[in-house]
Amino acid sequence: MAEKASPSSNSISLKTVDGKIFKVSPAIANQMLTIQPLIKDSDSSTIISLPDVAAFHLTKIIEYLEGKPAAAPSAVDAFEAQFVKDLSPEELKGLLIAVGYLKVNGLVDLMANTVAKLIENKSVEYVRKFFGVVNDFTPAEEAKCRQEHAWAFDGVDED
Amino acid sequence: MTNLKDSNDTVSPLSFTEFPEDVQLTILSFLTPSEITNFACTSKRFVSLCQNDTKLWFTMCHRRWGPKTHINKWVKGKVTFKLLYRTLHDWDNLIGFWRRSGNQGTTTAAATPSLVFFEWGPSFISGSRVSPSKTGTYDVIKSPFLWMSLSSEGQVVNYLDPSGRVDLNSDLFEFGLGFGFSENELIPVNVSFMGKTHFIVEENLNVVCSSSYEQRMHEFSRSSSGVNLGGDDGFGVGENVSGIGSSGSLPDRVVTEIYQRFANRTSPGSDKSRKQRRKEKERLARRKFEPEHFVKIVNCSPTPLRPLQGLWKGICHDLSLAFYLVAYDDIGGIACRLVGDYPDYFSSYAPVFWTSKAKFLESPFSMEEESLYDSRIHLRPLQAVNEIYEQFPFSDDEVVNQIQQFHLSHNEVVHRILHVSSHYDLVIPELGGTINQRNTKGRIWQYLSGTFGFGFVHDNFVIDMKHIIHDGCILDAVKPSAN
Repeated sequence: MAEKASPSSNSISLKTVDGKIFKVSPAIANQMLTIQPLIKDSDSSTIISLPDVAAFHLTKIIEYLEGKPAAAPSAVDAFEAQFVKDLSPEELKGLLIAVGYLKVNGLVDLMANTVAKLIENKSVEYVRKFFGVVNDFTPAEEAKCRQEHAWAFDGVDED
Repeated sequence: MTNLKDSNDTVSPLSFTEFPEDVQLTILSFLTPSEITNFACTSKRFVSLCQNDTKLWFTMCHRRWGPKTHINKWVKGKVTFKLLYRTLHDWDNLIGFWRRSGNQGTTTAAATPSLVFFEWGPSFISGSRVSPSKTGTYDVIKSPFLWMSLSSEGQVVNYLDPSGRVDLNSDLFEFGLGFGFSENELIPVNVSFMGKTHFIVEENLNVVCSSSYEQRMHEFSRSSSGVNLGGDDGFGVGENVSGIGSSGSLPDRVVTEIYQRFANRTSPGSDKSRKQRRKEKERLARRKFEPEHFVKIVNCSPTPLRPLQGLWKGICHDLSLAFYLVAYDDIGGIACRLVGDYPDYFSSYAPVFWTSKAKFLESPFSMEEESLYDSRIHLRPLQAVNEIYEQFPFSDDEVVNQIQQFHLSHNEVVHRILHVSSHYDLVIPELGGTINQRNTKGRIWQYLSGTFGFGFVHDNFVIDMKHIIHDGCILDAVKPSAN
């Protein structure tokens, strides 16, 4: 890893499931709500392990938290669009699980929204394939389900 | 950091069930209702997730309206989050400015301001009639007009305040609602939507036949197919809206036609019995409120590409406050008109200023342009500049120094200039003898702050435009005076 020696005494060490150790500043670590309570009690020697987070995901999370512009909503939008642009659907989903586990400020919504966009206006079959859903309906039940759920918002166009 | 990619996320797709529930709900909350339906049909398990009111539909409501209203205050009794979603989905588009279309020829309609502003309350949506104050300040009179909410029975309840006196901010729907609440003052009404840019408020006399939204839509599209919806009153506010009712300003004639069609839809005139007619007459006689039609003002706020667009307020030449609407057309022109209630019905139809090409002059400006602006008086609320206005007339040269100081102290730094024209002199040529080209010329001075002022070559004033709303609230709002 790039961080050989701890640059400052109060940085926080995070250990991913694949055994990599990341040193982050308390300001960054504090935005991961799940580990927030652990930070207070830790000193530079403690290592917080994150059993649900892989190194790739933590790298992305830190990249997001360090890179996110402080002000100007338009700059944030541009940054976020760039952030998710090169991630594959599977990477997005994996990152969303990690982000959901760590409860990272702002990133849960961004990732969930990005994943949701991938199934916007897609067929039931596509959504099943995308989310690995096993169809447990009989053809008759499925037809019935589709009919029953036509309840929503008759004639209103969705925006 | 090169070999960071995990090898384990390539084999089979991550299943939806691997997400914790809160993440699942967050994903779903970004979908539209029809996509939720779609999702529900993937498996039995997700049918029940998609029917979960307190989980899924709460999250759905929260995602869309959480920052705007108190979702939990709406939900009580038989009101479910799903019902709330459906209701607010229909009402969401109300938020913003509407103006009454046509003057139904009644005294009440003529006496009330035609501009209405809808905003979110904690457990209701409220509409207020807004009008410029007559005090020569930037104050905007905001008087209660309409409340819309859900009863604990899950019914839509809409009340109209004909007097404009009931305190809008009181939590009417939490404490007082029920049909016993101040019946003298509030009138139950129905609000019927037609497309996205038109609605009708009618008194609910409990005999009103309800028709489904679809029927209305159908009726509307039929009745509108034969007539010109081009909006020949030239307001041009309806662009950018697609679908039925795409014109933001239906000509009044059309509106009347449409309304008549609605009124007649349940009983085609020819086979209406006399008894029915008498009943109808009696019903109409009991009415306390004549139906009013409203048309949405769709582009109320400036955008980066249309910096002058929207509703503005400014002190005009007679030192009273007026509302202005600046609209862009699709070929780069702009037109500004007065909005509101003027004795002369047609005055609001002629533009205050217009140009066919909104191309700004950038600084540095020519000497001519500099001097044209520098010598002007900014028309301001009376109190602020009392000492200057007491020294009429404006044309007096010795006032100029004072004006200069005044001008600089207010630091309206001009950022860009736009050439515009006014119509007035062309319309009334006898006033000026011959039509003087120069008389119709004017300028818009856009300030660094983003707002702007305008004036004409033939006078010596700048009318500064101020925002009417900020963050969804009316600025400088005052209650109507007691008399």
